[in-house]
Amino acid sequence: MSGYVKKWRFLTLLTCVALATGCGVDSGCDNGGLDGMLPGGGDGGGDGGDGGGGPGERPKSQSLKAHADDINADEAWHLLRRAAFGGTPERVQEVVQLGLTNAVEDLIAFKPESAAVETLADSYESNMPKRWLVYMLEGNNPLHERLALFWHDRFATSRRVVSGVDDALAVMHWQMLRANALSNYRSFLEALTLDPLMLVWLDGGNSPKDAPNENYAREFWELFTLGRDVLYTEDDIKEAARAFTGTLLIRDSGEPRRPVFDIFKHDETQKSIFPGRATPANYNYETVIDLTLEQPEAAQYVARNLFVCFVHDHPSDETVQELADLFVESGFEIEPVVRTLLMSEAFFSEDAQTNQIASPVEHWVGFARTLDMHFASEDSQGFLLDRLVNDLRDAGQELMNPPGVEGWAEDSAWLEDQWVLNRVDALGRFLEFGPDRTTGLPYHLLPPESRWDERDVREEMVKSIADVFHLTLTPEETAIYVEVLDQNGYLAFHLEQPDRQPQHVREMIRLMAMDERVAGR
Amino acid sequence: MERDASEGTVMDGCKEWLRLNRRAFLKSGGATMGALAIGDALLARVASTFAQSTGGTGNLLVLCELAGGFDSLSFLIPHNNSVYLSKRPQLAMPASELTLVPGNTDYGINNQFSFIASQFLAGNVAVVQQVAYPDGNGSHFESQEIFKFGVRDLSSPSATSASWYERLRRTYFNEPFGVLDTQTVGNPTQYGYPDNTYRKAAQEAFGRLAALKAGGSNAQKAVRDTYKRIDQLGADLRARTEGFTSTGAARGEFYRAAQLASADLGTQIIKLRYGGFDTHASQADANATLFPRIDSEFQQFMDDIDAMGMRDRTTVVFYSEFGRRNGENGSPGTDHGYGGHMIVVGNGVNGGLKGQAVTSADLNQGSLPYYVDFRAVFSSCIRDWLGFNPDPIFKLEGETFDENIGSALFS
Repeated sequence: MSGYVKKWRFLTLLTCVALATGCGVDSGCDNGGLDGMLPGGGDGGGDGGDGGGGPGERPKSQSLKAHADDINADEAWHLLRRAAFGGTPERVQEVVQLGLTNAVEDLIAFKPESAAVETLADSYESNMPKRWLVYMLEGNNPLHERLALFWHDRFATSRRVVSGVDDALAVMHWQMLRANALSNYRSFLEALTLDPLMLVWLDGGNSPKDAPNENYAREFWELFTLGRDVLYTEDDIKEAARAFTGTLLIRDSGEPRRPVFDIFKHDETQKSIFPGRATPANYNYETVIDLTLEQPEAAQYVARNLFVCFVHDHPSDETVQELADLFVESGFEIEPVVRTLLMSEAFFSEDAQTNQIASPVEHWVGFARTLDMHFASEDSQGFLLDRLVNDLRDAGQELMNPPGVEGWAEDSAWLEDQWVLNRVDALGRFLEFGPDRTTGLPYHLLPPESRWDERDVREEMVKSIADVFHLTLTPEETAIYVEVLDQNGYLAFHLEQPDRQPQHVREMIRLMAMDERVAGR
Repeated sequence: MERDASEGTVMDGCKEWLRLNRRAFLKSGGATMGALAIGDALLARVASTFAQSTGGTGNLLVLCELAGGFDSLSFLIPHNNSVYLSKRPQLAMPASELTLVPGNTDYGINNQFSFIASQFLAGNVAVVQQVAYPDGNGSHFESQEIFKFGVRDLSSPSATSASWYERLRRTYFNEPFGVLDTQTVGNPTQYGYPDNTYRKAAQEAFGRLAALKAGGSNAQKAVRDTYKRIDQLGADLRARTEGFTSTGAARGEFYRAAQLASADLGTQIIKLRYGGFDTHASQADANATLFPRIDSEFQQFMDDIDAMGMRDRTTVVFYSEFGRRNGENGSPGTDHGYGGHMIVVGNGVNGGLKGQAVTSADLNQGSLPYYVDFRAVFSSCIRDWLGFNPDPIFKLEGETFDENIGSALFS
């Protein structure tokens, strides 16, 4: 996997060399232009949150100042849900013990995956939905998976545009997303531009210099760097399309296609991009990326997107600018921005509570991670995953096949009736097949089975699961959940037959996972 | 360019619509609006608000998928054809087992479909011969998806995010139960929050909890509103199908379809599926069980529909992902083929043999070829039976097909 990343860097280096002669003659390729704009170009880092110097105190919901390091269990739960899909009660306690700074560093640090996880994922070969679900649930890097999913939504591509041996391109694409998820935005954009699946998806690999295809140029700005109708004009798109030529896909016999930059297929003439702001130059894909990142709108766009991803949907321009400044100062490193966001007062403010609706995948992964449910080796045949992938697709989210270039419509767009019902099915799979197929059912969270013949145990069972989801139930709500355990009194909780109870217990747990406070976050 | 000129003046919804269409528009170099990327979910939602008033006939279209690859040469049989007889030494059917097509010495309908045959004689069945799509794919999975999504190119995420009939619903009649799939709904008397327990306590609790709670964020309210709606619609469907009594005893997919039709919830398309048509071996035995069963369950459905007074408003289309090979194998059965027949049944149907008649030249090939695009048949159903324009559903970017069926499907 890391070999893949290295290959990219190598390729980028090569193309730089190939371009050197072309670059010398004009300023558009000159990285010095960028340095002039950046104060120092330092590494960025922990004290970024104090920079920016906004005038006066802003409300907590807009404040990027660091939140107190001591956090309580509810705050730890909020952090884990937003940054890591969810977490077990033990994990919540661990985060409380660590304190905010260390907890965030722990989430950010990439940890090697266990051989068992890699082996299980590899057994699904190029079936990306299955592979990815394995990493999301079992992997050691939930924040990286969460961000890879975020970038997948922003840089949406579909595995359906390739087939046969090229199925591997979807795996490579995901590896590229994940490797760059918290890394440098500039190199991310370079890797994205040369990503084979992306080159197929947005026609970058099929854009001859005598008749360039504008698809990639348009989306590069509209979706990846600037936002809709920000700064660029239709003429800019035409010019940039010429600059993006030269990226090709070639196939060695029997291998997946691979990208090359061919200087002879690149339009080597002058292009005028953002004419009011830059002089014409012989731009290529790398220097268009550089030029774009020089525009303040780019950092603002990325900053706003990341803020909305983690915090809430109404950051002020001032807040966005402060975050954008941090992004620019760090040389477009994503990690300091994410660190600042996760530690900010805004992140823990009232506005950032329960204002998002989890996607089906995030909901399911969070549910399983919170209740500590896992794929067992028996599922190496993919029995459970087959069903899960189908459920999640029917719930509106098939990984690596978003509905279009703009990714998934989010939040309340997830609430199509049939999608919601299929989401319930997905949540039930582990519980349903648990005894046969998976280990670690959430029964350890309940009062011991030896006590299940006690009359009062029903309220305790409801409360124990509610506690895991950090839900405070009213007596009326508790009573309804108790009735689920009781099955309307008809099969009154089998006081003498504890072994007949799990189905009711499973229904109670699944129903609680559909609570709007769990489906939302 | 067009977009820049118009964007300043149109209302917001239109702006969104134009924006979503722009890419397809620019790519196609300025095709008509109808040919744009209507499969996009958001676009479809926006478009549907414009389409609410477009009406439609309110008729019912029932889609019966015969999954596995239906052998059209076991349905409409060229019993005199020497090529057929030589290619199917063990499986060929004699005229004595067929209902002969009146005024036609070449074809007869397998009497294992006795009800459909009787409907054919009554002029209520159109058999569209040699239907498929360009560049046939022998994979069940892929070919079924092509029929489901209504596109040849499965690499289009906007088209493959929803079946063509779901796209039709979102575009023209946005009722929540406008399209019902018997497989998705399952038992409609138990539709709603999926609760596998006997007394449905979780299903009941799901609705009660949503109704009980108040306050919270907008996101939380949106979730609860959805739950309340699901609960209410589920209650409607359960209540409205609970009292249904069929004219017959079969409880297969057609029974489910009749239950759903009886609920009268604004449903315009009911999708159902029968499997078992992948008859690579012992095909004669398999057909002898399968065909009469489907035929009689279909008859029961039509009787049920009749009892509801909906007979004149209902059309049923049978289709399969591909036909089977012309020649039998040694098993004896038939392997995956290409072209096949679509069967359209209903009082509103202009009955008879449509499409391209099967000739010796066709039979001399490995499989029946493709003369009629399946989307031409579905387009006719949408336009002439449901009263909607099918172009935005099927004429997606890069998708072209010949709409010719030979003669009109509906009278």
